[in-house]
Amino acid sequence: MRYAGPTPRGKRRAGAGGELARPRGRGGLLSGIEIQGLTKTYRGGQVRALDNVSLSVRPGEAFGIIGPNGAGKTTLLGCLLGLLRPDAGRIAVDGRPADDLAVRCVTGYLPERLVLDRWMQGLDFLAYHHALAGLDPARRREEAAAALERVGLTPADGRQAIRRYSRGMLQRLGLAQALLGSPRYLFLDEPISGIDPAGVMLFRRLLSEMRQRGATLVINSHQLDEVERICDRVAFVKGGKVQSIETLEAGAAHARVLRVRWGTSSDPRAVTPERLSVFGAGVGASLEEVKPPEARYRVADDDGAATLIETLLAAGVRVIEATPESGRLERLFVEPGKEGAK
Amino acid sequence: MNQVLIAALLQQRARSLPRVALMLSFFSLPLLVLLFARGAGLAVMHTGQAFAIFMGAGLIGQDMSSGTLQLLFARPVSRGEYVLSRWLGAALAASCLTMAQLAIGVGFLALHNEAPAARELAIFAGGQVLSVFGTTSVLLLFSTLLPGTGDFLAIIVAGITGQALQLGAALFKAPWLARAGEEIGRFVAPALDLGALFGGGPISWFEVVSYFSTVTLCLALAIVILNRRELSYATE
Repeated sequence: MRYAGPTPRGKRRAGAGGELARPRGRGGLLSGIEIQGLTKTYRGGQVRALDNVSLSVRPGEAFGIIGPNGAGKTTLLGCLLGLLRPDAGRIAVDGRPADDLAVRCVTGYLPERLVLDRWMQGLDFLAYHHALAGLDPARRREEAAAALERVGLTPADGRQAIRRYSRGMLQRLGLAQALLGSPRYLFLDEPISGIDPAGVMLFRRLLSEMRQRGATLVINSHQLDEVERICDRVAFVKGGKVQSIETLEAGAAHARVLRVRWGTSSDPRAVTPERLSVFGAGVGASLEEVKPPEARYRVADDDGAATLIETLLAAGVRVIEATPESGRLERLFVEPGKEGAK
Repeated sequence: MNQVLIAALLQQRARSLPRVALMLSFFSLPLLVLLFARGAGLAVMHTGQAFAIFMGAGLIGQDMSSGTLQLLFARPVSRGEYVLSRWLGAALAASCLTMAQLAIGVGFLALHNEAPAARELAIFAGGQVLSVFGTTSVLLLFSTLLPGTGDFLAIIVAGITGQALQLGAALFKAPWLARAGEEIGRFVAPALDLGALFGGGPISWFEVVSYFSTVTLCLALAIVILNRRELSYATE
């Protein structure tokens, strides 16, 4: 299929190159995303998917939404994209309603369930979305091919029917269409589910590039470590309510268990349970368990963890690995309800 | 109207093997009749409605069932624009098939020295095109209400119901039943008899208004229904 014809209704915006899609907010100002008192119910009000949710996402910010299944995360994304009608409340993207067509000119969306047009070929699919997005028709094929390459798909993959794509390829193609035209707002629903480690690294790099270009990311994911890597702030959603909104730096103030592993070249006198306990106590860390060549310490914060490692190294413990038992987000996730469920 | 959506619709239809097979058979069978049988005339080429049904079945329901609409409406495309583009694309494609078939058919008739007069041909062609646009609009409405190709089934069932009511009316001598069947038939297959309209006699404005109001109502309702529909798997 060749979508090389004129762009309908004269809708045109920036290409897939370096420049972000120009905002069309009132007065051309970027105001990010504002959600106020958002409520959404299903089944005639029996199921309250979102309950008076209010939050704001600053322009250029990477904002994560995490929470258990059925918490209302996908509903929130659906409302942000104008695919769902809220019962009450207000959403503004760049000062405009979420379902405003001008907003959709500057947004990209990667759904969790990648139901793409299976009868199309990969490259045609990108050209189709390039046209739908109102991008420059003269550069359609070129930019579609570049988008394909950007997500690590080959020209041969692009000529293949989408119905033959693996889950990982679909995810890459989905991201390629979301990135078309360098959107100013990117809504990603479980962006790295079902992709291989190489794909995960590619996604990280692409999202990092988008951030550097000033794009605002809203990421809904269960992959807490990835959210932690990418996002500036995270909203914990549970039972349709935002339980807390935390900046990731705030996680540094939370206590955690650090698993320390040492090498065989360590001083044997330094790695006895007694000595390890003394080293920890000296820097405010309590030794929880020792199973050579490993020990578990409870530390107060990031600084406490760093000081503990320095002390152990100085005492002749050749630390080869020190990892938190749970990521900062996992702990934040558990803390609001104190229920210990992930 | 969105040319991109129309192009995508045509491509989607062309990639569906059962659909193409059905349309090919409805395209070629009447032509074979005209080629080998004398005196058949234009009557065998009342295929506009069939082309409209085969081209239009699942016009919106298929996209809705497959889940592709979510991604589509995340783009700067209004739902009204989508509905009208699908309708126009399907109706234009079915009209083109009808006209192509008619052109070949007239050629075959000419071989038998049975070519119709230009006026008769123009009225027949116009009637077929109106029938295509009318039927496509009804399918479009059904398609916003029913998943997959449920609209195809709905239009067939409604058509059979109309016929059954008229049959029942004849059996039980119930004129109201006949009227009900007639109205259902008129709704399912909106058409205008251009022969009567341009025949020089009194114009039946009821027929004209009935046709255009059916088409308009179907399009308007389809847009309203799709506008009200929520498109997220969060609703499941």
